[in-house]
Amino acid sequence: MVRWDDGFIDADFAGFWTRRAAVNPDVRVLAIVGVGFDPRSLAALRALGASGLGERLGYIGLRIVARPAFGDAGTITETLSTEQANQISLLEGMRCEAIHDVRTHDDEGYNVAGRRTLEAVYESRDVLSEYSDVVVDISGMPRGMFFPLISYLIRLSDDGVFRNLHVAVVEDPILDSRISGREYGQADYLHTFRDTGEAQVVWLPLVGATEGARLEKIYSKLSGSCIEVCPILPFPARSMRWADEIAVRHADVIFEGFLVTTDNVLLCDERSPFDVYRKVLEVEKYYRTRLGVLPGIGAVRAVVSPLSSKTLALGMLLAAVERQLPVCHVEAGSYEVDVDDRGRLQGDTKRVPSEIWLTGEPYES
Amino acid sequence: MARVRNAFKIRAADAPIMETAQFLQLYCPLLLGQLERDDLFVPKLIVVRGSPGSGKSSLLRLFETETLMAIHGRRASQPGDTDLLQRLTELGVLHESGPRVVGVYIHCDSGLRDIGNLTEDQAPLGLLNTLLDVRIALAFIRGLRRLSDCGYLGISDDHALKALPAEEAPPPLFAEPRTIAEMEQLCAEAERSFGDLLNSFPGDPLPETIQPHARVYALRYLAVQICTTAQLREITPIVMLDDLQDLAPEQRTHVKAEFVRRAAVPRWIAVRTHVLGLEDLVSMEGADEGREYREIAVDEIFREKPNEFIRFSGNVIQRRLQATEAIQQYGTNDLRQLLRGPEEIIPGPSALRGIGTLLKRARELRAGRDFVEALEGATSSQGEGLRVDDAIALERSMILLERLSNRGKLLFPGMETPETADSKTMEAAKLFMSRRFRVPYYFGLDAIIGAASGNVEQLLSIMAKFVDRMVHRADLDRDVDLSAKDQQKMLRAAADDYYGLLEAKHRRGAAIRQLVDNLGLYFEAVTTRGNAPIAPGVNGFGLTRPEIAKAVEGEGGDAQVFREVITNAVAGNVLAAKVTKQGQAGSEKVVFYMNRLLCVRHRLPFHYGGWQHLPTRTLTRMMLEPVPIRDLLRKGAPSAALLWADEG
Repeated sequence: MVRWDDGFIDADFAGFWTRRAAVNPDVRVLAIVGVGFDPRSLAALRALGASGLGERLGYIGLRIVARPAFGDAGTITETLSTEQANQISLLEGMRCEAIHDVRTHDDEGYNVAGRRTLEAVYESRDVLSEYSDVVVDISGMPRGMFFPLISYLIRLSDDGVFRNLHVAVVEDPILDSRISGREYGQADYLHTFRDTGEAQVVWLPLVGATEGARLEKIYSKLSGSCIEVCPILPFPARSMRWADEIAVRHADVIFEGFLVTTDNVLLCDERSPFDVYRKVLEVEKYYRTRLGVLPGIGAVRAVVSPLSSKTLALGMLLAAVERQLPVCHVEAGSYEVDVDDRGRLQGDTKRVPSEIWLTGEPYES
Repeated sequence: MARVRNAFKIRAADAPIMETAQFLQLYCPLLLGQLERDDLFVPKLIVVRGSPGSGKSSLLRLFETETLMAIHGRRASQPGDTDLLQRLTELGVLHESGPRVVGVYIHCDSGLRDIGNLTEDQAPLGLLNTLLDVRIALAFIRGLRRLSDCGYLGISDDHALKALPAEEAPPPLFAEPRTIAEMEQLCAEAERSFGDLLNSFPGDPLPETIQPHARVYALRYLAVQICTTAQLREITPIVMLDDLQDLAPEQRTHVKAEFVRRAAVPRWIAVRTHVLGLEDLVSMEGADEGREYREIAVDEIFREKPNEFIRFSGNVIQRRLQATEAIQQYGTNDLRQLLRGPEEIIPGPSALRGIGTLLKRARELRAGRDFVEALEGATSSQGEGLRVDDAIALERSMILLERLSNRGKLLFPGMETPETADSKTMEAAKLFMSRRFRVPYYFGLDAIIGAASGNVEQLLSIMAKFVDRMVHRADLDRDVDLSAKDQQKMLRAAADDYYGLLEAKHRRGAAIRQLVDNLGLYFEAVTTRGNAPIAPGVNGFGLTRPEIAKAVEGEGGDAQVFREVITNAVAGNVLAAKVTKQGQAGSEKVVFYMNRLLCVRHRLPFHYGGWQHLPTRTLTRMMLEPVPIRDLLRKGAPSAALLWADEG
């Protein structure tokens, strides 16, 4: 039995919280939001504000202090970030527990987002126990932030600091297509997901549409001990051909560069984190128990890389937490965003957050 | 040895991904020539500096015990390793009885750097010492075991390693005598505990097995073992730290202080090239060069002695060709033949068009009757085309005419005395001819090696493209030779790939790309002036040290832009810094040359020496936005539009 075998997901975040607020008067909700240039950062908090929680709603804002790109691109993201930061201060009917600045890079450009995020939340740890439910909105957070954060909060929830942990995420492919990462640093393990052993590696990368360069960087880091690569593609997805398109786009890298056979490709439902979660666990167990006992191979461990949508990345995170898998990733050093004539970064306005419940009531027998 | 489809796609430094035998097949021993016997047996610090891909890591990995054992094991069977064997034997690294060196290779990975992010109360520098101690001791022990397992050393797991003397106040790890097996187990546990520490959450306690060390004791510990153990008397451990630049600044300073301290064990540090005056990754100030340390600047060796890089490249290419399945029968000399030169005759239509533009310009300059008639004559006989050499001669004459015209000496057409053309002018004429008559300029093995910018990794990635094409042709049973036109196309494709990755690959990549765009256009404009004033062309900019110092004064703003962009561009080998005294007497300048692949993109020559001064304020602007060429060219300079309006 795996921990999230029967995971809880509700595509209607607002409806879920309106019902929960009405049925459970004891529910007190703390939202943790990352505030950067991404306009999705506050979507879940706004929905919670409208759910009838009233005084029972508080939030911790993690203001993402990134190294802006030089020139116009940097000015645009800084302006958008400032606007988002102003927006959060205008939200009414909820308690602001803390606003922390989280630097994503150190003076030499190395990523420190995970460590700084945990330090910020640790500073506010006493606040957490005052709430029954903690909701993390990962829509505006880079993976380097929300992977360690959620891992830490799962531990705190397991330790009884608070009862229920939820994740909110807005998937918006249109908006995503207007944000492009660049100035990638070196491939590295995310904070708290560092590789600590000396085993052979089976690499499970989630492959997104524009991730060729990052795939190569990660492969280059792992290649010294990598004995197998199992790319994960989204299927079913928004379009039935989406997985094919990604595979064709990266064929050079995956099939010729990494010498992957088509039998190794995994397909996972794009809409749910729990499908990828289950499949990663299955594959990890298969390689650990079957390959690891072969003579001359020795210990085998799976390393995962979340280079796709946030929903799928979340599934990979859950697998990494459950089996203590290393997570190897390349964060963008800066972002370029495509704004409209009025300087707005806009996506599909119909997109709303989804609710994913990770610890607490549904899992208590 | 197993052959692969394209051996140029394998990076030698990624040794673990390939068998040691393959690494050796591909490794070129030329850099070993930089090492002296004293570097190994008179213990001092060796600092190896170089840009990414210059061969630093490969050099260090060659001294890993496993690699040395493999080389030794192949003594009889692999005649191809003769150079390597000979050099390593001369250095005293290999002996008939086996390897005499235990290479302790430590990569400064993000784990070491991340220790610097721990809180002050966790004593991050002390923990850095501990982790270095653990890794050094563990790698040393494993090296001994490998030698012992293969019968090169008579030492067992029960052998007792000596403790450090109590008066040195060693940490518990080194304070007691322990067997090799015990020490290995303790170190492995400590290494795992470090993993747990770095993966821990805030507030978690420090693992009990980890204690901060006051300094790096492992160097002394290794020395004690070597001096006091009879079986180890013949063995020299070399402690090698790779990629030191990836540590945090205070960690670098600390490690340098620890490693420069006198110890009975040779220490090698590999660090990427730093930017003179802009940063000091590992300042050796205060240390005595020669006595306490020696520096090997890999890039400069090749830049100062281009023939060394050509020889080195030839060796690398030879080894890789032999390891490439479909074309293993070819060597470097064969490759020179397979990379064909351009046709000797320029076809009629191209010749006609080119001569037409020359004629037009000659008339504008009111050139002498002889020259105009020569051009008119060439025009009328274009049915058979024009010889390339004749076209170069016409270009040379035109450059000389332009120069005379610039000096106002064409007032009396036909009376002027043409100057003689030096070799640089001839090279400029060749470049102009290739552009005007659309004749390939970049072809042949020398062009490939030149485009590599003195960097092995770049050489391999360019060659990989050529070899892909040759292998493909071999698969189809076609001749594998490549026309000059195809070669130029492939070099330009390699240049486009390189350019395309600038933004994604480098920190401050967007600004680096913007600077490259502006510089490329500017260099092109200066190079293609009709009178070729800085023949054969310009591909670098120079700054005085005071200018650099002034530009980086202060925090934020332009200073930050300038500092970070130049630093990252040099670190990533996009720009190569070189100190020159060229120019006015006494004016030392740091010249930043553009990567030679980017020269291909902008059709610039590969030579070093052609540079222009650019104000730092202008450079900063060039990093942030497109700068019109007219803003960059000096007032009164000839127009940049020049001759190439018809270029496609």
